[in-house]
Amino acid sequence: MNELSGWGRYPKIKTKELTPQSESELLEILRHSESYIPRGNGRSYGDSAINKDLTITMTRMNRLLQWNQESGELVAESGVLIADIIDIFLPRGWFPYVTPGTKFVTLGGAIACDVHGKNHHKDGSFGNFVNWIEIFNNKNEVVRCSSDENSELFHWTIGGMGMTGVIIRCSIQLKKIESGWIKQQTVVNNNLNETLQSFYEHKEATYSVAWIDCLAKGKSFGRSILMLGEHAQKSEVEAKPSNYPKRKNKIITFPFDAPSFLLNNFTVSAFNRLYFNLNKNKQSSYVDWDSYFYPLDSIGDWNRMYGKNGFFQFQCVLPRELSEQGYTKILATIQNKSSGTFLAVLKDFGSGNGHLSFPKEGLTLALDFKASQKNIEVGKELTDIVNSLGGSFYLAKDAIINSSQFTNNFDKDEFLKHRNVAIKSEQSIRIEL
Amino acid sequence: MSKNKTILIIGAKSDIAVAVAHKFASEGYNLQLAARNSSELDAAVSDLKIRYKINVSVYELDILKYETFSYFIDSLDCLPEIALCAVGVLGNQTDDEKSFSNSTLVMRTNYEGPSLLLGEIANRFEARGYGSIIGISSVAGVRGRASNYIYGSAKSGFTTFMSGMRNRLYQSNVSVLSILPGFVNTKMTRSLNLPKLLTSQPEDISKITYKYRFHSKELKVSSWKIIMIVIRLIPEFIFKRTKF
Repeated sequence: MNELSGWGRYPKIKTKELTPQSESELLEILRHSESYIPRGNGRSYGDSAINKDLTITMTRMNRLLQWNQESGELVAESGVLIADIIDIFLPRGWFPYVTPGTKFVTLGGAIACDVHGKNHHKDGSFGNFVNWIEIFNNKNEVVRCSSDENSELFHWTIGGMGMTGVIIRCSIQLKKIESGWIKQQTVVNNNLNETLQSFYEHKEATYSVAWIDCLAKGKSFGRSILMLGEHAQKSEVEAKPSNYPKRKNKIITFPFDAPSFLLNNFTVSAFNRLYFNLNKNKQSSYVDWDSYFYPLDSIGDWNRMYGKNGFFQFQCVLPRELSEQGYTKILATIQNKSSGTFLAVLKDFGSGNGHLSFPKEGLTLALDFKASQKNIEVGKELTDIVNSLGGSFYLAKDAIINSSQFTNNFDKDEFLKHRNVAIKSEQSIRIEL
Repeated sequence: MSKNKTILIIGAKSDIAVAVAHKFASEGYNLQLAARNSSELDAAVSDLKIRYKINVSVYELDILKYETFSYFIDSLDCLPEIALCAVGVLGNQTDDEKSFSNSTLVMRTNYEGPSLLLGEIANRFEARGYGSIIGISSVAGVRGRASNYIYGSAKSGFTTFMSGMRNRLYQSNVSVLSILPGFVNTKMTRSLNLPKLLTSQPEDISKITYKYRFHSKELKVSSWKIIMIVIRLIPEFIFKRTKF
């Protein structure tokens, strides 16, 4: 037995973990198991990739199977990491179309969570660039699905949190780029209204994301820094030492769990103030891909910052027209309950993709909370606010909501037709997915 | 040394062999992979080709079919610069000690096959005038232990064969390297409960192998050096009472 948790290190659950290396080994495991969940690199935050009986970790099925340098189509096993894809294909002029805030996710996990990036408003989520997927269905047969073939299964698998079957391999489309540099521009917004307006004004930008100071009060309530980005053309970065810079070394690795008193209202609000002031004078600069997309990856095991009890994330999406009202309420709740959060990130979403996918038209907010009983209560309160406004939750981040709070809109009967009943996660049991 | 940067990896499906393939490919080596049921290598082969843009050729080889060895070497697309053997089978001591056929299989697979094949390749290298022979043996061969002496004795034979060959070829331009890992986290050891501190990863072995690829010596993998000195020094009258 092994103790596993998601990236938030909360909750921690004892489970048997197996790591198959080939399709035949995987099939052998599935044939003898009645209850299991596949797991990628363990970067979802909560308990969505843990099953008490058996957790099947796919990171050893990580082979690249076909590559087309002309078209950018990659066929690979589901345990391949986005980090590997960048290491290998960036020097050949290709980059993932969609990437989440860490490069240490597997392809299988990216599909199952239908992850999004800073370009969702323009390009949509990861599932938009998946050509086909092969999974073991509920009879343990290999089935290929795509938007043309078994299309319903395809759309339930994208964003389906692994419930339709273990993803064995897939074909994805990469994006042709001229350099590994991003032209970054920052826009300072002094309050929530300006923040929301600013997304609208810059909707043509390829990448956009706002860091929001959720502890600022009064006339600065909801102030933020919107960070915009474009892939730099080759001609723009000729002076740089390399057109395709390599992955950065980790600056530091958290060697132990930080003492939990380190994060308190005083330090968090000081951090927020400092961060705002450091960034507000930056205007336009060229940043390498690793620093731009994955700032936190450079701090190894940063999840230890929240102490040994871990932390949880809260991420919701609210319909655009209710965003200002909703986020005013949410930020006010955080301030009143004194549950300051280091990382509050706001992002504009375009329309969704898979039937169970999280992204839909509107604005999404992601927050980190130290996993204390008090904060879990705050999280539940926020959940109710989101539900009252018709919003929904990102299951890849969730560790706390219950089945009555899980109101994401989908056709349950249709879902059950494609669901593999042997597949269960602690989360799917908790929210009765 | 030559510039035909090619390594032949025998027993290419083993986890150590796969790690070695990645390491050498990442350093620009072309690969010749030999294994039984070699079609199981298809995914690994495409992966290596895409990742490192190198040539990979695959050969069907049964380490117990000695009569095929000459033909096998002739059929290689070139005589490689380096030949590495990672063939091995752990067996199950308590079952095997009651069965001639099981024991024979473990002995032949770990000792006879690898020794005969590497011996023949070494002859070809010597005739050509250069080359490097690498054998993955085991610290299990250093002293017979109650829990795995069939495997251990076969590895011991292999280690001794390599050591003799190293001495014979000392004056030539052919190097002979023996790597003696302790516990490695692989398919072969998955059913064992290995002590974490003493267990290395296949990647650790591949890095050491690459670094010492042209050396003529016997290498115990770091933390095991001292342990094996101690194990060797235990007097037989005490050692025979141990069960580990």
